[in-house]
Amino acid sequence: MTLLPKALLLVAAFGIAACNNPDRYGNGAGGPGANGGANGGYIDTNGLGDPNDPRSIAYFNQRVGDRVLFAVDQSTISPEGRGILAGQAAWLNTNSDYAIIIEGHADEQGTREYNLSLGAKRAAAVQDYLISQGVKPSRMKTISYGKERPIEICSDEACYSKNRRAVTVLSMGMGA
Amino acid sequence: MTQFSRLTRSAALLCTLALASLAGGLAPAGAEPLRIVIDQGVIEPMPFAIPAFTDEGGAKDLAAKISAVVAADLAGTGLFREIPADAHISRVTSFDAPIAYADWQAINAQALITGAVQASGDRIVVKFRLFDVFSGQPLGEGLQFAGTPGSWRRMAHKVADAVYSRITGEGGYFDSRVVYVSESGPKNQRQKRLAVMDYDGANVQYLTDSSSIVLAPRFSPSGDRILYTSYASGFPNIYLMDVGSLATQQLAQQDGTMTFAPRFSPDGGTVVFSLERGGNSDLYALNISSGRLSQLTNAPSIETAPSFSPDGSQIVFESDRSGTQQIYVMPAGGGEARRISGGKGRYGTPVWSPRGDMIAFTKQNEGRFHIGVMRTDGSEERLLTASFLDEGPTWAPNGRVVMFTRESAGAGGQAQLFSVDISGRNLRQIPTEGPASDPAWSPLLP
Amino acid sequence: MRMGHAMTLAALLPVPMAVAQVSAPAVAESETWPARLRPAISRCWNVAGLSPEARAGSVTLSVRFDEAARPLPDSFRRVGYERMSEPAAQEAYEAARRAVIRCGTQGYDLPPEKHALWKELHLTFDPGAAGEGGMR
Repeated sequence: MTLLPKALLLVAAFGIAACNNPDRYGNGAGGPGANGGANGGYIDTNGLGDPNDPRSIAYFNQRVGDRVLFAVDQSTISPEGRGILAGQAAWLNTNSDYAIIIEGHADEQGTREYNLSLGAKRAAAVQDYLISQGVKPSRMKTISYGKERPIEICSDEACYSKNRRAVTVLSMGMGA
Repeated sequence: MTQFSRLTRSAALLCTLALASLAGGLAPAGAEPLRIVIDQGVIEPMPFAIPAFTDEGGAKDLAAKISAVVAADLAGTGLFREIPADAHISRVTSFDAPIAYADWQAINAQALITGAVQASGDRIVVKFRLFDVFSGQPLGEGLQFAGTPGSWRRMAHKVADAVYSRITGEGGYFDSRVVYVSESGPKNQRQKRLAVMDYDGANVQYLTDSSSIVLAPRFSPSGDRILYTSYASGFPNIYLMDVGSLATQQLAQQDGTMTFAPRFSPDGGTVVFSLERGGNSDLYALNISSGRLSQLTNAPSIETAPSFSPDGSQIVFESDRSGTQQIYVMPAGGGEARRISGGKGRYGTPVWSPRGDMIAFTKQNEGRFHIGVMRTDGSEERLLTASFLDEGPTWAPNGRVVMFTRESAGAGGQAQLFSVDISGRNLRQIPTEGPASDPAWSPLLP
Repeated sequence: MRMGHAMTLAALLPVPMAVAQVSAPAVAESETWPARLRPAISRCWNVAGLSPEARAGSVTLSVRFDEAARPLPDSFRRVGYERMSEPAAQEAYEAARRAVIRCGTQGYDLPPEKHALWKELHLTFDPGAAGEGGMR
């Protein structure tokens, strides 16, 4: 293996500027505009635009569908998921200014490290599918939250099934 | 075998003798006394008495506080039970006064701990003696510790470690710290901060603010550095923190990858961890001083949660290469891995014990989570706990106790820290200010 | 070697069987004092604090009793140990000695007319010889 040029990069652990931080769940919820309820804490609801505007993030999230769900301990895209992702790809190819972060999540029925890996596999599965549909790889990044950020909080399959998800999160101005 | 002919009056004696003589490796008979085998013991906490340590100058409050912490340490193991002071007959007024063994025998104290504390300026001296009450003699030499008044709890822990070690024959674990994740907020918006505390929950110190998710901190073998995973850069990445200065560096950072599940090698010079690229997690080792990175596994499955054997020659880790999460052992430099977990269910988060003889793990089976231990070849699996969600064991420095995260179910579910003896007894919650997870035990402090 | 043969036998012979024989009804009352002595000491033999190593081994001590069947504290000697290291043997020995002294302060229930038989005993403490007692 090669030497890592960036290994040992010294940083201050909590000095990273928030504007560069794709972690929309960043621990410090509660600031202005934070909407930390059951929706998982989107940072800035106002910036999503009007869901009736077909070019808005709100339209993508609500009409196209920003997420696909997974079976227990699986990272294979379901037929239903493929339909949603085909819609996402078509929209993303039309609206090419948005940068894309794909978040992978797991339910709480698993150990922490394993669930991080599983979330990464789910995000990567979505990314691969979008690439196959023509979305440029350079626009996309993936991140896994493992079981750290459930969207539903009960301890039943009704909640688990919604937490086993990959969410395509868009942002303006960071695109390639 | 003349022992047999000496006492042939009853089959009972004969049999007892036969067993005894074989178990004991007898000298020739003749003058040999009769031998009886006792194979049934009782498992109950050993009663001990610890009169408040005496003040030998300037330590009026401190002396009693120190003996109280010693008592709490010992009783907390489940192996000892304190006989309360109001039951004591004898009073210990000076450290060198003779011991009235009969008085301590009368209240059935098996062990007696006496001590004294002297304080002057910024220095305190704590000394103690341990007595075997029923044989009427000291157990080993007395010991004395010196330190600053601010370190009085540590000195109490050191007394308790010495007592524990003298009676059980094993190393202690009281003078140690635990790094963990302090949690707050609702389940879907949980705030996480790194914190360290004494093993018993005292002296909490926060190491990070809650601006980023932090996970699974691990102490270095000398206890002066911490590895952990943080989302500080926006993406999960492993970091190294100096506990004294809180100076932090990001390790093995590469765009488009996630790094997590770091753990030190026994010499503290190498970090073994998971690196995820394109959805696939494999194990890597990073030499901290040179930055040299080497890949240890290369498989399309999930490889994570690596932990070194104490001699540094092997790594235990989890992989789902067989189709489900299972535990494997491979040489520390990588190479062929041998699966050691074989029971029903899924096995993860293996951790090699500091004694080298056992591996603790998390097991999931039929909707329940367990903390368990097994031999390093996977034999003698023993589940110590069962709950909705138990995970992530960490070993006490003496390899006798494991601490882990237990999370309750439901919308209001919260994580707490628990410890359990490797016999499966003495399950206890560790007191923390709020919810807490991902404990990692330090080595015994110097 | 007969000893070798016997060793094999001992390994195969489950100890509970020996217990059953000790208390067999065919044995006269006066001859069951070893059977009474064993539980009398067992109830004071606390194995909870023993290290796994000390629990896996066996230790034999020698002790003398006065005519009231009280153990003489100065008479204790460690006479042998098996399946453990020296430090573990010392730990196991001390726990065993505590048991004999603690439960013998009022004297054990031993037949006075047999004093010659029990005035000195070798007691082998072997938690590994029993199922639960040998738990580690």
